[in-house]
Amino acid sequence: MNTKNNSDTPRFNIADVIIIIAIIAVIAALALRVYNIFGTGDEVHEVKIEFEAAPVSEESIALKEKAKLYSSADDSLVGYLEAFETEDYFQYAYNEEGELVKAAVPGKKTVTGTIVLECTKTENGFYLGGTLLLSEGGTLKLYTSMREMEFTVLKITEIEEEEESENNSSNMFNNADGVQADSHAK
Amino acid sequence: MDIKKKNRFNLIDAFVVLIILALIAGTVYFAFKENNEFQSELRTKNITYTVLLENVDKDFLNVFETDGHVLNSSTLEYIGKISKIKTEKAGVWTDKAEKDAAGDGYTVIKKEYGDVYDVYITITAKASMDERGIAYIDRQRITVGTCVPLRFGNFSVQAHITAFSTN
Repeated sequence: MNTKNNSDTPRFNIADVIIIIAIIAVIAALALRVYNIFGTGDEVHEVKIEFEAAPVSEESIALKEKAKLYSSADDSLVGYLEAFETEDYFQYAYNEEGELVKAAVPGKKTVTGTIVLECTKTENGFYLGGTLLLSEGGTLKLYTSMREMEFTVLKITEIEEEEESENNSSNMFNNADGVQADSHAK
Repeated sequence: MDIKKKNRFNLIDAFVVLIILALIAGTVYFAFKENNEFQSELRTKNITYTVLLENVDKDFLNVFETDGHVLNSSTLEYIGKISKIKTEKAGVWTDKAEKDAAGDGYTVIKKEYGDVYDVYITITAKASMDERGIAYIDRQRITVGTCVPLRFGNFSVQAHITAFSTN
């Protein structure tokens, strides 16, 4: 009697199938996450970006060298502002003689400088945050603790390891000083 | 007859499926959640920030009042109280240039137009400082140059932060 009952009872039903699929999905998700964290195989490189930002209001430049830079898209720490300088922002306009001349726009500045970003290197180029392919002529929206700004990329240069060691900058984020948030923007 | 009964998808099966689905959802959430949410509300500070509203029509100037409340127009959350208002005529850069003060270069001539104004509004509020030292008001990051959606009464506008200070 017992033998008959056992053979009549279905051992594998729809609930079992769903459970197995669920367990496989969980394992796959965890494996993917672990792969993303440890096993992407992409090399991380420091990249120096020459940038320009214009026009910027003279009173609200509010940048500071060595300030940490965060991505406006996902708030991740991406690098630091190495150096910058400002100069007049120019447009072309007609003078009194009707000639086209280069003229400064009062109150507006052009900011140029370099930023250092940590990127993954692939055969296509350098990716910021794993998704944004850096391009000369493209723009990056980044912020410090004081200032958010859109940077136009002028030139991308990979920082060689030798240069890194010479500069004693094994970890770029250690070089970047935080900026006091309570400083009033100038 | 007995066999048919056992083949049915019963309450226990449904319960198991729900638990498994919850497990999947939890795993996926924690697996893919970016760990970039910096701890906010570590400390609260008073913040004063100034926003610039460009090219505001004269008819709307009366919506800005000292001590008036300011909301984030996206979330409708309170993000401060107006402490100061400054208006100046809006202008446009022309295609004309004049000699600069030193006389060795040119500057572009700016001209005012119509009844439109640039409005600087200073707002005071309580801000949460995250672990990076960055100020937030209701998830709105306060940094110079950041665009903020604001609402004054029934008037909504996009403004840029031009300055801020905390204490």
